[in-house]
Amino acid sequence: MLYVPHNVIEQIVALCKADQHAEVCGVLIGQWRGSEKRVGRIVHVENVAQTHRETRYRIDDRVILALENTLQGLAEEILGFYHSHLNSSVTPSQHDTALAWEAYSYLIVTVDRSGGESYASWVMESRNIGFQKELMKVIGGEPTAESLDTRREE
Amino acid sequence: MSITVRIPQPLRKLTNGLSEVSSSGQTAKELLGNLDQQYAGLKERLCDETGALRRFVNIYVNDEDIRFLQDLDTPLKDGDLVSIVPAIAGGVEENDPKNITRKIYLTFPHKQIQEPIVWRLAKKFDVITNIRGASVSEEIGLMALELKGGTTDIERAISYLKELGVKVEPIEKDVIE
Repeated sequence: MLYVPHNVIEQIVALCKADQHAEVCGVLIGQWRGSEKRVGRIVHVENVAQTHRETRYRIDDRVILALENTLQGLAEEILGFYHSHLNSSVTPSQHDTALAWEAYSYLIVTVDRSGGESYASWVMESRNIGFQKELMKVIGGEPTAESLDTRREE
Repeated sequence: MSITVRIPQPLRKLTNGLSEVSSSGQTAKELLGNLDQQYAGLKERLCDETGALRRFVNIYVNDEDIRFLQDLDTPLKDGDLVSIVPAIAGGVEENDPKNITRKIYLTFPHKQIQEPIVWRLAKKFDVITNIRGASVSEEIGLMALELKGGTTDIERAISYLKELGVKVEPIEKDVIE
């Protein structure tokens, strides 16, 4: 189960809507207990895919390395990643699946031409099974106590 | 000799939940072998059957990607920090079939009959359009259309048609040429 505060999902959707020419991407950060992930905040990063950025994204490895180094020993973890699909579906593409890691959440946001959005989170428990939709719950209209705590730690 | 290895979350179920473990090895390859002795199954997650690093795995020694050093033969020394860093990417597969032909029936709504939709389709998306049959009256337009191109381009072209209110029905399955 992926818990996402209302303001965080709004932030992600706004970032995805802001670019209609390239997929956008970022990292979901928060607390991870068993199969329960609670997003506290996001780190929005540049899509460094070299070509076909309208259908591809890549997060710079060094960004992830730096984040892992920063989070080492803290209560926060990288929980997964979000990216947008332009005028497409919220279903992971072949390439999304081929490159996916187990356990992380992959949140996909679709923005269509009319400006409407939809999103779904995917998780791969095992490579043999492939991606399955992850239960996702948007919580509160306000930031949760946990996400406020997380901010204080920064 | 001691080398610190940072483990990303998805692999911690193999390291008893540890985010950082100690191991040893003269090279990255040796280190992975030793890690696998300590934490069974770890190497298989990182390397394929040929022993090469999987596409979605990066290994950094201190701040350098081993792919830009000597890959798995990269030498290691006491005190090195080795990080297993997930490669995060997605999108259209490089080897997506590029030459698919899809035949579809289109039913145009009344308001779209006058519009040059097929022309727009070819201009907007990287697809080759070939009209195989059409019947247009003032009330309704029917067309059998063949689309050639990459899977994604064809998918996008079809989504676009649907967005315009055109009814799209497949004639037959994809033919990969």
